[in-house]
Amino acid sequence: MCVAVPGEVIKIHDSKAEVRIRKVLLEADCALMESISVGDRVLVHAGFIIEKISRGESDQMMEDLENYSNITSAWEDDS
Amino acid sequence: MNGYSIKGFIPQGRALDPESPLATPFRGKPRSMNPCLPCSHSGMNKFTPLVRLGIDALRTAISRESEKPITLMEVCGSHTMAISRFGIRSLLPETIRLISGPGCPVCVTEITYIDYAIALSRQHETIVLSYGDLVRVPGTHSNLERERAGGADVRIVYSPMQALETARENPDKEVVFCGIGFETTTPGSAVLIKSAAEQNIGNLSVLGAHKTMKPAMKALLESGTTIDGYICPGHVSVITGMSMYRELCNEYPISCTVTGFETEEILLGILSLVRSIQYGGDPVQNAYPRVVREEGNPKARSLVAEVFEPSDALWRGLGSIKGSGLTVRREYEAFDAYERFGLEVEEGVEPKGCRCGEVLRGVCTPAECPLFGNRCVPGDPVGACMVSSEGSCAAWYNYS
Repeated sequence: MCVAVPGEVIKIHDSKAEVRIRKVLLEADCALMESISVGDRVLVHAGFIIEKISRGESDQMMEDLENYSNITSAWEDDS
Repeated sequence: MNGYSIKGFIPQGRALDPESPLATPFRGKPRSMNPCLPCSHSGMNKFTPLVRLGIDALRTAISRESEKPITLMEVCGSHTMAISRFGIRSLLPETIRLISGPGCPVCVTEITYIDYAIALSRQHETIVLSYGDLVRVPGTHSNLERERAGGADVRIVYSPMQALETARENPDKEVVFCGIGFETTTPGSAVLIKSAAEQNIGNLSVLGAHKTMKPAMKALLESGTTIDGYICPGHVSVITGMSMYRELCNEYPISCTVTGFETEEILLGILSLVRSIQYGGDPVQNAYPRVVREEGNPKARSLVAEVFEPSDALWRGLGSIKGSGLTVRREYEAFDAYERFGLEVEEGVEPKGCRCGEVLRGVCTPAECPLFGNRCVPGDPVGACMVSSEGSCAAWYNYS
Protein backbone atom coordinates (compact mmCIF):
# COMPACT_ATOMS: atom_id res chain seq x y z
CA MET A 1 0.00 0.00 0.00
CA CYS A 2 2.97 2.29 0.44
CA VAL A 3 4.36 1.70 -3.01
CA ALA A 4 4.65 4.69 -5.32
CA VAL A 5 5.14 4.30 -9.03
CA PRO A 6 7.07 6.52 -11.45
CA GLY A 7 5.45 8.22 -14.41
CA GLU A 8 5.58 11.20 -16.75
CA VAL A 9 3.20 14.14 -16.64
CA ILE A 10 1.44 14.36 -20.00
CA LYS A 11 -1.21 16.99 -19.35
CA ILE A 12 -2.27 19.31 -16.53
CA HIS A 13 -5.76 20.66 -15.97
CA ASP A 14 -6.60 22.61 -12.80
CA SER A 15 -4.91 20.73 -9.97
CA LYS A 16 -4.97 17.38 -11.76
CA ALA A 17 -2.28 15.86 -13.92
CA GLU A 18 -2.54 13.12 -16.46
CA VAL A 19 0.38 10.81 -15.79
CA ARG A 20 1.62 8.06 -18.06
CA ILE A 21 2.78 5.05 -16.06
CA ARG A 22 4.21 2.54 -18.49
CA LYS A 23 1.33 2.14 -20.96
CA VAL A 24 -1.40 3.34 -18.63
CA LEU A 25 -2.72 6.88 -18.25
CA LEU A 26 -3.77 7.83 -14.74
CA GLU A 27 -5.16 11.00 -13.22
CA ALA A 28 -3.13 12.22 -10.26
CA ASP A 29 -3.70 15.13 -7.91
CA CYS A 30 -0.95 17.78 -7.71
CA ALA A 31 -1.98 19.19 -4.31
CA LEU A 32 1.06 17.80 -2.48
CA MET A 33 3.58 19.48 -4.77
CA GLU A 34 4.66 23.12 -5.03
CA SER A 35 4.79 23.03 -8.84
CA ILE A 36 4.30 20.47 -11.56
CA SER A 37 4.84 20.92 -15.29
CA VAL A 38 4.15 18.84 -18.37
CA GLY A 39 7.11 16.52 -18.96
CA ASP A 40 8.01 16.22 -15.26
CA ARG A 41 8.87 12.75 -14.05
CA VAL A 42 6.99 12.06 -10.84
CA LEU A 43 6.17 9.45 -8.22
CA VAL A 44 2.47 8.67 -7.82
CA HIS A 45 0.91 7.14 -4.73
CA ALA A 46 -2.82 6.56 -4.18
CA GLY A 47 -3.81 9.15 -6.76
CA PHE A 48 -1.38 11.85 -5.63
CA ILE A 49 1.95 13.01 -6.96
CA ILE A 50 4.21 12.80 -3.92
CA GLU A 51 7.61 13.69 -5.42
CA LYS A 52 9.35 14.90 -8.55
CA ILE A 53 12.27 12.81 -9.70
CA SER A 54 14.89 13.26 -12.39
CA ARG A 55 14.49 11.74 -15.84
CA GLY A 56 17.39 9.36 -15.12
CA GLU A 57 15.86 8.21 -11.84
CA SER A 58 12.51 7.77 -13.52
CA ASP A 59 13.98 5.74 -16.39
CA GLN A 60 15.79 3.54 -13.89
CA MET A 61 12.60 3.00 -11.89
CA MET A 62 10.63 2.26 -15.06
CA GLU A 63 13.26 -0.32 -15.96
CA ASP A 64 13.04 -1.78 -12.45
CA LEU A 65 9.28 -1.95 -12.79
CA GLU A 66 9.65 -3.68 -16.15
CA ASN A 67 12.19 -6.15 -14.69
CA TYR A 68 9.93 -6.77 -11.73
CA SER A 69 7.01 -7.43 -14.01
CA ASN A 70 9.08 -9.73 -16.25
CA ILE A 71 10.39 -11.67 -13.26
CA THR A 72 6.91 -12.04 -11.83
CA SER A 73 5.57 -13.21 -15.20
CA ALA A 74 8.43 -15.70 -15.53
CA TRP A 75 7.67 -17.05 -12.08
CA GLU A 76 4.01 -17.33 -12.90
CA ASP A 77 4.85 -19.13 -16.17
CA ASP A 78 7.05 -21.57 -14.24
CA SER A 79 4.46 -22.33 -11.60
CA MET B 1 24.94 11.55 6.12
CA ASN B 2 26.52 9.41 3.45
CA GLY B 3 24.43 8.91 0.35
CA TYR B 4 24.72 5.27 -0.56
CA SER B 5 24.36 4.79 -4.27
CA ILE B 6 23.43 1.70 -6.17
CA LYS B 7 25.55 2.74 -9.13
CA GLY B 8 28.78 1.45 -7.60
CA PHE B 9 27.27 -2.00 -7.32
CA ILE B 10 26.49 -2.52 -10.96
CA PRO B 11 30.03 -3.32 -12.13
CA GLN B 12 29.14 -3.53 -15.84
CA GLY B 13 31.59 -6.31 -16.50
CA ARG B 14 34.59 -4.87 -14.70
CA ALA B 15 36.06 -5.02 -11.23
CA LEU B 16 34.48 -2.92 -8.52
CA ASP B 17 35.40 0.71 -8.55
CA PRO B 18 37.84 1.26 -5.64
CA GLU B 19 35.99 4.48 -4.90
CA SER B 20 32.68 2.71 -4.46
CA PRO B 21 31.28 2.42 -0.93
CA LEU B 22 31.84 -1.33 -1.22
CA ALA B 23 35.57 -1.01 -1.39
CA THR B 24 36.32 1.22 1.58
CA PRO B 25 35.16 0.14 5.01
CA PHE B 26 35.86 -3.61 4.89
CA ARG B 27 37.89 -4.52 7.95
CA GLY B 28 36.75 -8.04 8.73
CA LYS B 29 38.22 -11.38 7.78
CA PRO B 30 37.18 -12.74 4.40
CA ARG B 31 34.77 -15.59 4.83
CA SER B 32 33.34 -18.11 2.48
CA MET B 33 30.02 -17.22 0.94
CA ASN B 34 26.90 -19.22 1.51
CA PRO B 35 25.79 -21.20 -1.51
CA CYS B 36 23.58 -19.15 -3.80
CA LEU B 37 20.37 -20.91 -2.89
CA PRO B 38 18.05 -18.57 -4.73
CA CYS B 39 19.79 -19.34 -8.01
CA SER B 40 18.52 -22.84 -7.75
CA HIS B 41 15.12 -22.37 -6.21
CA SER B 42 13.56 -18.97 -6.15
CA GLY B 43 14.03 -17.48 -9.55
CA MET B 44 17.09 -15.24 -9.14
CA ASN B 45 18.25 -16.61 -12.46
CA LYS B 46 15.46 -14.53 -14.00
CA PHE B 47 17.46 -11.34 -13.36
CA THR B 48 19.47 -9.84 -16.20
CA PRO B 49 23.22 -10.60 -16.08
CA LEU B 50 23.96 -6.96 -15.23
CA VAL B 51 21.65 -6.93 -12.23
CA ARG B 52 23.02 -10.30 -11.14
CA LEU B 53 26.53 -8.83 -11.12
CA GLY B 54 25.40 -6.07 -8.78
CA ILE B 55 23.56 -8.50 -6.53
CA ASP B 56 26.52 -10.88 -6.37
CA ALA B 57 28.89 -8.02 -5.50
CA LEU B 58 26.60 -6.94 -2.67
CA ARG B 59 26.17 -10.50 -1.37
CA THR B 60 29.92 -10.94 -1.32
CA ALA B 61 30.44 -7.69 0.55
CA ILE B 62 27.77 -8.50 3.13
CA SER B 63 29.10 -12.03 3.69
CA ARG B 64 32.69 -10.81 4.05
CA GLU B 65 31.89 -7.97 6.38
CA SER B 66 29.20 -9.38 8.64
CA GLU B 67 30.86 -10.73 11.77
CA LYS B 68 28.61 -10.35 14.78
CA PRO B 69 25.04 -11.65 14.85
CA ILE B 70 22.57 -8.84 14.25
CA THR B 71 18.81 -8.53 13.89
CA LEU B 72 17.35 -6.15 11.34
CA MET B 73 13.68 -5.29 11.13
CA GLU B 74 11.86 -3.94 8.09
CA VAL B 75 8.89 -1.73 8.85
CA CYS B 76 7.34 -1.47 5.40
CA GLY B 77 4.90 -3.93 3.89
CA SER B 78 6.41 -3.53 0.43
CA HIS B 79 9.82 -4.44 1.86
CA THR B 80 8.27 -7.46 3.59
CA MET B 81 6.91 -8.65 0.29
CA ALA B 82 10.09 -7.89 -1.68
CA ILE B 83 12.32 -9.65 0.88
CA SER B 84 10.21 -12.80 0.66
CA ARG B 85 9.58 -12.63 -3.06
CA PHE B 86 13.23 -12.20 -4.00
CA GLY B 87 14.54 -14.69 -1.44
CA ILE B 88 16.69 -12.06 0.27
CA ARG B 89 17.02 -14.11 3.48
CA SER B 90 18.72 -16.91 1.61
CA LEU B 91 21.25 -14.45 0.18
CA LEU B 92 22.48 -13.45 3.63
CA PRO B 93 24.97 -15.07 5.98
CA GLU B 94 23.68 -16.72 9.15
CA THR B 95 24.83 -13.75 11.20
CA ILE B 96 22.04 -11.59 9.82
CA ARG B 97 18.49 -12.22 10.98
CA LEU B 98 15.71 -10.37 9.20
CA ILE B 99 12.41 -9.90 10.99
CA SER B 100 9.25 -8.14 9.87
CA GLY B 101 7.67 -5.36 11.88
CA PRO B 102 4.39 -3.46 11.78
CA GLY B 103 4.87 -2.03 8.29
CA CYS B 104 1.72 -3.18 6.57
CA PRO B 105 -0.97 -0.55 7.22
CA VAL B 106 -3.81 -2.99 6.71
CA CYS B 107 -2.27 -5.49 9.13
CA VAL B 108 -1.89 -3.01 11.98
CA THR B 109 -5.42 -1.67 11.65
CA GLU B 110 -7.20 -2.57 14.85
CA ILE B 111 -10.14 -4.98 14.76
CA THR B 112 -12.56 -2.53 16.45
CA TYR B 113 -11.92 -0.10 13.57
CA ILE B 114 -13.08 -2.78 11.12
CA ASP B 115 -16.15 -3.41 13.27
CA TYR B 116 -16.86 0.34 13.20
CA ALA B 117 -16.56 0.44 9.39
CA ILE B 118 -18.90 -2.56 9.19
CA ALA B 119 -21.40 -0.84 11.48
CA LEU B 120 -21.29 2.22 9.22
CA SER B 121 -21.81 0.11 6.11
CA ARG B 122 -25.02 -1.21 7.73
CA GLN B 123 -26.36 2.33 8.18
CA HIS B 124 -29.20 3.34 5.90
CA GLU B 125 -28.17 5.30 2.79
CA THR B 126 -24.45 5.10 3.49
CA ILE B 127 -21.65 4.42 1.04
CA VAL B 128 -18.36 3.15 2.49
CA LEU B 129 -15.23 3.64 0.40
CA SER B 130 -12.08 1.68 1.12
CA TYR B 131 -8.68 0.78 -0.28
CA GLY B 132 -8.76 -2.72 -1.76
CA ASP B 133 -7.03 -4.83 0.89
CA LEU B 134 -9.00 -3.42 3.79
CA VAL B 135 -12.31 -4.93 2.67
CA ARG B 136 -11.02 -8.44 3.38
CA VAL B 137 -9.63 -7.75 6.85
CA PRO B 138 -11.68 -9.74 9.35
CA GLY B 139 -13.63 -7.87 11.97
CA THR B 140 -15.02 -9.67 15.00
CA HIS B 141 -17.88 -11.32 13.09
CA SER B 142 -17.65 -10.17 9.46
CA ASN B 143 -15.65 -8.07 7.01
CA LEU B 144 -16.54 -5.33 4.54
CA GLU B 145 -16.43 -7.73 1.60
CA ARG B 146 -19.08 -9.95 3.19
CA GLU B 147 -21.16 -6.89 4.03
CA ARG B 148 -21.01 -5.87 0.39
CA ALA B 149 -22.12 -9.34 -0.68
CA GLY B 150 -24.99 -8.95 1.76
CA GLY B 151 -26.13 -5.72 0.12
CA ALA B 152 -24.11 -2.98 1.79
CA ASP B 153 -22.78 -0.26 -0.52
CA VAL B 154 -19.04 -0.79 -0.06
CA ARG B 155 -16.82 0.43 -2.88
CA ILE B 156 -13.11 0.07 -3.49
CA VAL B 157 -11.21 3.20 -4.45
CA TYR B 158 -7.72 3.89 -5.69
CA SER B 159 -7.53 7.49 -4.50
CA PRO B 160 -9.18 9.34 -1.60
CA MET B 161 -10.31 12.00 -4.08
CA GLN B 162 -12.78 9.50 -5.55
CA ALA B 163 -14.70 10.02 -2.32
CA LEU B 164 -15.27 13.64 -3.31
CA GLU B 165 -16.76 12.61 -6.67
CA THR B 166 -18.89 9.93 -5.01
CA ALA B 167 -20.22 12.45 -2.50
CA ARG B 168 -21.10 14.92 -5.25
CA GLU B 169 -22.84 12.24 -7.29
CA ASN B 170 -24.83 10.98 -4.28
CA PRO B 171 -26.01 14.09 -2.41
CA ASP B 172 -28.76 12.15 -0.63
CA LYS B 173 -26.32 9.61 0.86
CA GLU B 174 -23.62 9.70 3.49
CA VAL B 175 -20.21 8.89 1.99
CA VAL B 176 -17.53 7.58 4.36
CA PHE B 177 -13.92 7.10 3.31
CA CYS B 178 -11.87 4.62 5.36
CA GLY B 179 -8.60 6.51 5.76
CA ILE B 180 -5.84 4.17 6.84
CA GLY B 181 -2.11 4.10 6.25
CA PHE B 182 1.13 5.75 7.22
CA GLU B 183 2.83 8.98 6.21
CA THR B 184 2.69 8.22 2.47
CA THR B 185 -1.09 7.86 2.46
CA THR B 186 -2.19 10.36 5.12
CA PRO B 187 -1.60 13.51 2.98
CA GLY B 188 -4.25 12.25 0.55
CA SER B 189 -6.82 12.07 3.34
CA ALA B 190 -5.81 15.57 4.45
CA VAL B 191 -6.36 16.96 0.95
CA LEU B 192 -9.71 15.16 0.76
CA ILE B 193 -10.94 16.74 4.01
CA LYS B 194 -9.64 20.18 3.10
CA SER B 195 -11.22 20.00 -0.36
CA ALA B 196 -14.55 18.86 1.10
CA ALA B 197 -14.48 21.81 3.50
CA GLU B 198 -13.59 24.31 0.75
CA GLN B 199 -16.28 22.96 -1.56
CA ASN B 200 -18.93 22.69 1.18
CA ILE B 201 -19.49 19.00 0.60
CA GLY B 202 -21.80 18.17 3.46
CA ASN B 203 -22.24 14.42 3.06
CA LEU B 204 -18.62 13.28 3.24
CA SER B 205 -16.56 12.12 6.20
CA VAL B 206 -13.37 10.18 6.88
CA LEU B 207 -13.17 7.23 9.25
CA GLY B 208 -9.56 7.75 10.16
CA ALA B 209 -6.98 5.28 11.40
CA HIS B 210 -3.86 6.95 10.08
CA LYS B 211 -0.68 6.19 11.95
CA THR B 212 2.86 7.50 12.16
CA MET B 213 5.86 5.27 12.00
CA LYS B 214 8.33 6.78 14.45
CA PRO B 215 6.34 6.19 17.68
CA ALA B 216 5.85 2.55 16.66
CA MET B 217 9.56 2.13 15.97
CA LYS B 218 10.25 3.61 19.42
CA ALA B 219 7.65 1.39 21.09
CA LEU B 220 9.23 -1.71 19.60
CA LEU B 221 12.64 -0.71 20.92
CA GLU B 222 11.15 -0.13 24.37
CA SER B 223 9.17 -3.39 24.31
CA GLY B 224 12.32 -5.48 24.52
CA THR B 225 12.28 -6.81 20.95
CA THR B 226 15.93 -7.20 19.95
CA ILE B 227 16.58 -4.93 16.99
CA ASP B 228 20.01 -3.68 15.95
CA GLY B 229 18.90 -1.82 12.86
CA TYR B 230 15.80 -0.74 11.00
CA ILE B 231 15.42 -1.17 7.25
CA CYS B 232 13.40 2.01 6.86
CA PRO B 233 10.50 2.47 4.45
CA GLY B 234 11.34 4.07 1.11
CA HIS B 235 8.14 5.84 0.26
CA VAL B 236 7.17 6.85 3.80
CA SER B 237 10.56 8.59 3.83
CA VAL B 238 9.69 10.48 0.62
CA ILE B 239 7.24 12.38 2.83
CA THR B 240 9.03 12.39 6.21
CA GLY B 241 12.58 12.96 5.00
CA MET B 242 15.47 11.70 7.10
CA SER B 243 15.11 13.78 10.26
CA MET B 244 12.82 11.35 12.09
CA TYR B 245 15.49 8.66 11.86
CA ARG B 246 18.08 11.05 13.27
CA GLU B 247 15.81 11.75 16.23
CA LEU B 248 15.33 8.02 16.79
CA CYS B 249 19.06 7.28 16.57
CA ASN B 250 19.81 10.12 19.00
CA GLU B 251 17.52 8.50 21.58
CA TYR B 252 18.31 4.81 21.07
CA PRO B 253 21.37 2.73 20.16
CA ILE B 254 20.00 1.79 16.76
CA SER B 255 20.95 2.23 13.12
CA CYS B 256 18.49 3.23 10.41
CA THR B 257 18.89 2.93 6.66
CA VAL B 258 16.26 3.94 4.12
CA THR B 259 16.18 1.61 1.13
CA GLY B 260 14.31 1.09 -2.11
CA PHE B 261 12.46 -2.02 -3.17
CA GLU B 262 14.70 -3.75 -5.67
CA THR B 263 16.88 -6.68 -4.59
CA GLU B 264 20.10 -4.74 -4.99
CA GLU B 265 18.66 -1.74 -3.15
CA ILE B 266 17.60 -3.87 -0.19
CA LEU B 267 21.00 -5.57 -0.11
CA LEU B 268 22.71 -2.19 -0.25
CA GLY B 269 20.63 -1.07 2.72
CA ILE B 270 21.57 -4.21 4.64
CA LEU B 271 25.26 -3.66 3.86
CA SER B 272 25.01 -0.11 5.11
CA LEU B 273 23.40 -1.34 8.34
CA VAL B 274 26.04 -4.03 8.84
CA ARG B 275 28.74 -1.40 8.54
CA SER B 276 27.02 1.11 10.75
CA ILE B 277 26.30 -1.44 13.50
CA GLN B 278 29.75 -3.05 13.43
CA TYR B 279 32.00 -0.08 12.82
CA GLY B 280 29.99 2.86 14.14
CA GLY B 281 29.86 6.16 12.27
CA ASP B 282 26.68 7.85 11.15
CA PRO B 283 23.81 5.54 12.17
CA VAL B 284 21.45 7.15 9.63
CA GLN B 285 21.94 6.30 5.98
CA ASN B 286 19.95 6.90 2.84
CA ALA B 287 20.39 4.02 0.41
CA TYR B 288 17.50 5.31 -1.74
CA PRO B 289 18.81 8.79 -2.57
CA ARG B 290 17.40 8.76 -6.08
CA VAL B 291 13.94 9.22 -4.56
CA VAL B 292 14.24 10.18 -0.87
CA ARG B 293 15.40 13.73 -0.08
CA GLU B 294 16.83 14.84 3.24
CA GLU B 295 13.94 17.25 3.76
CA GLY B 296 11.17 14.94 2.49
CA ASN B 297 8.01 16.61 1.23
CA PRO B 298 7.35 19.63 3.50
CA LYS B 299 4.14 20.61 1.70
CA ALA B 300 2.58 17.20 2.32
CA ARG B 301 3.57 17.32 5.98
CA SER B 302 2.19 20.81 6.36
CA LEU B 303 -1.20 19.76 4.90
CA VAL B 304 -1.33 16.81 7.29
CA ALA B 305 -0.52 19.08 10.24
CA GLU B 306 -3.26 21.50 9.19
CA VAL B 307 -5.98 18.83 9.15
CA PHE B 308 -4.82 16.27 11.73
CA GLU B 309 -3.32 16.40 15.19
CA PRO B 310 -1.30 13.69 16.95
CA SER B 311 -3.19 11.34 19.24
CA ASP B 312 -2.70 7.97 20.86
CA ALA B 313 -3.62 5.07 18.59
CA LEU B 314 -4.35 1.38 18.86
CA TRP B 315 -2.20 -0.90 16.74
CA ARG B 316 -3.09 -4.51 16.14
CA GLY B 317 -0.47 -6.50 18.01
CA LEU B 318 1.17 -3.53 19.66
CA GLY B 319 -1.70 -2.08 21.67
CA SER B 320 -1.97 1.63 22.33
CA ILE B 321 1.05 3.70 21.33
CA LYS B 322 1.31 7.24 22.59
CA GLY B 323 1.24 9.90 19.89
CA SER B 324 1.23 7.36 17.04
CA GLY B 325 -2.15 8.25 15.60
CA LEU B 326 -3.70 11.21 13.83
CA THR B 327 -7.08 12.64 14.74
CA VAL B 328 -9.03 15.15 12.66
CA ARG B 329 -8.64 18.63 14.16
CA ARG B 330 -11.64 20.37 15.68
CA GLU B 331 -11.85 22.84 12.75
CA TYR B 332 -12.59 19.93 10.45
CA GLU B 333 -14.63 17.74 12.83
CA ALA B 334 -17.67 17.92 10.52
CA PHE B 335 -15.69 15.58 8.28
CA ASP B 336 -14.70 13.19 11.05
CA ALA B 337 -16.88 10.05 10.80
CA TYR B 338 -16.48 9.32 14.52
CA GLU B 339 -17.90 12.76 15.38
CA ARG B 340 -20.52 12.65 12.68
CA PHE B 341 -22.02 9.26 13.48
CA GLY B 342 -21.02 8.71 17.10
CA LEU B 343 -21.70 4.98 16.88
CA GLU B 344 -21.14 2.77 19.90
CA VAL B 345 -19.18 -0.30 18.87
CA GLU B 346 -18.07 -3.00 21.30
CA GLU B 347 -14.38 -3.71 21.61
CA GLY B 348 -13.40 -6.19 18.90
CA VAL B 349 -12.25 -9.71 19.68
CA GLU B 350 -9.19 -11.12 17.94
CA PRO B 351 -9.60 -14.59 16.40
CA LYS B 352 -8.67 -17.37 18.80
CA GLY B 353 -5.22 -18.81 18.20
CA CYS B 354 -4.16 -16.02 15.80
CA ARG B 355 -0.62 -14.79 16.49
CA CYS B 356 -0.66 -11.77 14.15
CA GLY B 357 0.18 -9.55 17.10
CA GLU B 358 3.39 -11.41 17.82
CA VAL B 359 4.25 -11.59 14.11
CA LEU B 360 3.88 -7.80 13.89
CA ARG B 361 6.27 -7.34 16.81
CA GLY B 362 8.83 -9.68 15.27
CA VAL B 363 8.43 -12.04 18.23
CA CYS B 364 7.52 -15.06 16.11
CA THR B 365 7.57 -15.97 12.45
CA PRO B 366 4.31 -16.60 10.60
CA ALA B 367 5.13 -20.31 10.40
CA GLU B 368 5.09 -20.49 14.21
CA CYS B 369 1.39 -19.59 14.31
CA PRO B 370 -0.79 -22.70 14.72
CA LEU B 371 -3.32 -21.36 12.19
CA PHE B 372 -0.76 -20.55 9.48
CA GLY B 373 -1.23 -22.51 6.28
CA ASN B 374 -4.17 -24.57 7.51
CA ARG B 375 -7.03 -22.52 8.93
CA CYS B 376 -5.43 -19.26 7.76
CA VAL B 377 -4.53 -19.00 4.06
CA PRO B 378 -4.62 -16.06 1.61
CA GLY B 379 -7.90 -17.25 0.11
CA ASP B 380 -9.55 -17.46 3.52
CA PRO B 381 -7.53 -15.39 5.98
CA VAL B 382 -8.13 -15.48 9.72
CA GLY B 383 -5.60 -12.83 10.68
CA ALA B 384 -4.92 -9.46 9.08
CA CYS B 385 -1.33 -10.37 8.20
CA MET B 386 -2.63 -12.99 5.76
CA VAL B 387 -5.02 -10.58 4.02
CA SER B 388 -2.78 -8.06 2.35
CA SER B 389 -0.15 -9.19 -0.13
CA GLU B 390 2.17 -6.98 1.94
CA GLY B 391 1.36 -8.82 5.16
CA SER B 392 4.11 -10.94 6.71
CA CYS B 393 2.00 -14.10 6.73
CA ALA B 394 0.88 -13.74 3.10
CA ALA B 395 4.46 -13.04 1.98
CA TRP B 396 5.72 -16.01 3.99
CA TYR B 397 2.95 -18.25 2.62
CA ASN B 398 3.47 -17.25 -1.00
CA TYR B 399 7.25 -17.21 -1.19
CA SER B 400 8.87 -19.21 1.60
